[in-house]
Amino acid sequence: MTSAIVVEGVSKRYRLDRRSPHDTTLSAAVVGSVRAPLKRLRNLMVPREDQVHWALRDISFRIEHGECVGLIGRNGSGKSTLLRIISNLTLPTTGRVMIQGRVGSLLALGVGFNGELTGRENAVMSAVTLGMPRREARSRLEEMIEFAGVRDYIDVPVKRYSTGMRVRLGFSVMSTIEPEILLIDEVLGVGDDEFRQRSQDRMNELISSGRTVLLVSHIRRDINMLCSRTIQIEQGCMHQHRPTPNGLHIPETMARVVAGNEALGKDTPELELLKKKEEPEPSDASA
Amino acid sequence: MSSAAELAETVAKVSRLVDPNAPVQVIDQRSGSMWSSLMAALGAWELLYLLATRDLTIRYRQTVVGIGWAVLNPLLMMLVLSVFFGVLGRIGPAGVPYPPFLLSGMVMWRLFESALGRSNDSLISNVALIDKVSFPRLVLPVASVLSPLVDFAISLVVVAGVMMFYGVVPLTEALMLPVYILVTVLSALGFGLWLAGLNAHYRDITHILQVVLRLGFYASPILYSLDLVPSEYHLLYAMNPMVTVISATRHALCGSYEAIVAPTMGMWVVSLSVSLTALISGLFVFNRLEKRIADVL
Repeated sequence: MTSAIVVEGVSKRYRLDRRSPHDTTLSAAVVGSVRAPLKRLRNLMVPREDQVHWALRDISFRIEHGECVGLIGRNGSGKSTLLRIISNLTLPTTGRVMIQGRVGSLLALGVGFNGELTGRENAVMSAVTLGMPRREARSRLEEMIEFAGVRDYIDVPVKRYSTGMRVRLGFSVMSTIEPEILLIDEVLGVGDDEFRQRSQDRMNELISSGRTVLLVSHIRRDINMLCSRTIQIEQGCMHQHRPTPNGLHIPETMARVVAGNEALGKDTPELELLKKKEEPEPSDASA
Repeated sequence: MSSAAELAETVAKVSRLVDPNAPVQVIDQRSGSMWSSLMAALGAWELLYLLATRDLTIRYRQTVVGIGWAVLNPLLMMLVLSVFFGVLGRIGPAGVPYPPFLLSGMVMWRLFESALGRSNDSLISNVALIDKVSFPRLVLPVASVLSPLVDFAISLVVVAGVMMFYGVVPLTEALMLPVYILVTVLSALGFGLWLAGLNAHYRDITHILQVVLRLGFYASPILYSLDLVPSEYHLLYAMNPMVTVISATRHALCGSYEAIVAPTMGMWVVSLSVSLTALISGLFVFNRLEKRIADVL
């Protein structure tokens, strides 16, 4: 395999646990569970159609090593679910994902910090959880603290941190472990201008050093600036797959997109786009 | 438009970073056999250590007496139970001072109880981590049976103190204590794996566990001695895997009194087979349930 990420026919079904509107009181819940334990069991075994939600349906694409790809779509379109599957947090219901390289994912708000532990303890803990040896995590702690700009609060329990501080520390830890593949779910938008600038720079650094990045963002500017192409998902389905204005001008990206599509037996509409030498495309990300 | 030189440079960077023969991770419904999960968890031993110590830190950080609770707790428990069962009930064997008798039986049970309780909660109390980071999930229940070992070590000191106070001399079998501890921890892990996986899906488990632990306390030779149970039932009795290890510990510590007998080989065989079955099936069940964990928590 020569691609960083291959997604093949991935679908994801979630159980909704829809409750009857009469089921809101404790006594109703108790009576319900006493009266219909069998019904509950049956629902557990074979979920009814109104009890499931297909968050993703038959998603396929591939991302080459060294590419930076944007994932866009409205709220609830399935972007985060897809990122969670690629991060190996949840399994796809059907289809499969293949990954080559160490993955670091930064999903919305933090990397699973524990509020009772201090920033320092959490940073080491997270780095080790993400696969860094403990000795290395300790020795690179200074660097993480510096970048996150939380030096004065590093020995304070994280529960006393502001949202911005948490996210900054999370991003700092994650980018320090230098994964080959980075999955990032709209976290760059948090934090103040200064931190955004610094994280933007760090992202650029990571991308230009040849790392693979899959970035979810609603901010069109971030996507345009960092990504060579975008994948748009609407209501769990692949909607569009096209290079960003930036990406159009990078022939190697185009070559990889074409190669990827060919491997999946699909044609590449972007080629036509490129041939027409279309100027900046109309904004396709309404979200 | 990037120049040919730039392009070549980027390609070179990428190829330096990525070994084309690097292993490919496949994520689908079939991924994660029991064996590979086990190996992955053992490979993450540093994480295991950090999680176990984190448990301790959190548990004692916001307390005033701190780790002293680990001393006070068994002492207070011993006092209460000694009054009721030693002085008023007179359930212990004649001629043996009740407090050391009780404590030597209770320490192992308390280790088992807290290891089991912790592993039962190990997944649901770590939702934040499970929800955000990919790591071998098996590490969580394993770490949770390890952290009670520190409290246990402290309560052993309490036991030693009480024994000295009553002038009880342990037998040389006390050198086997590490083995008994290992058996207790592995038994707790076996049942704990079942509970952790099931509890994430059905919270009924916590309620059931409370009842079962209460029963288990009375169904183990803690308040009373092993020979209170007729010996023809001993093998059946040993189906509770803690029976053997508790009576062996008590014998090692207080065996200088003739009234306190060691468990038979047959009891060891029965108890150890129950524990081993629990451990292997627990690994299997946990591995199955763990796959859907992030979706149900």
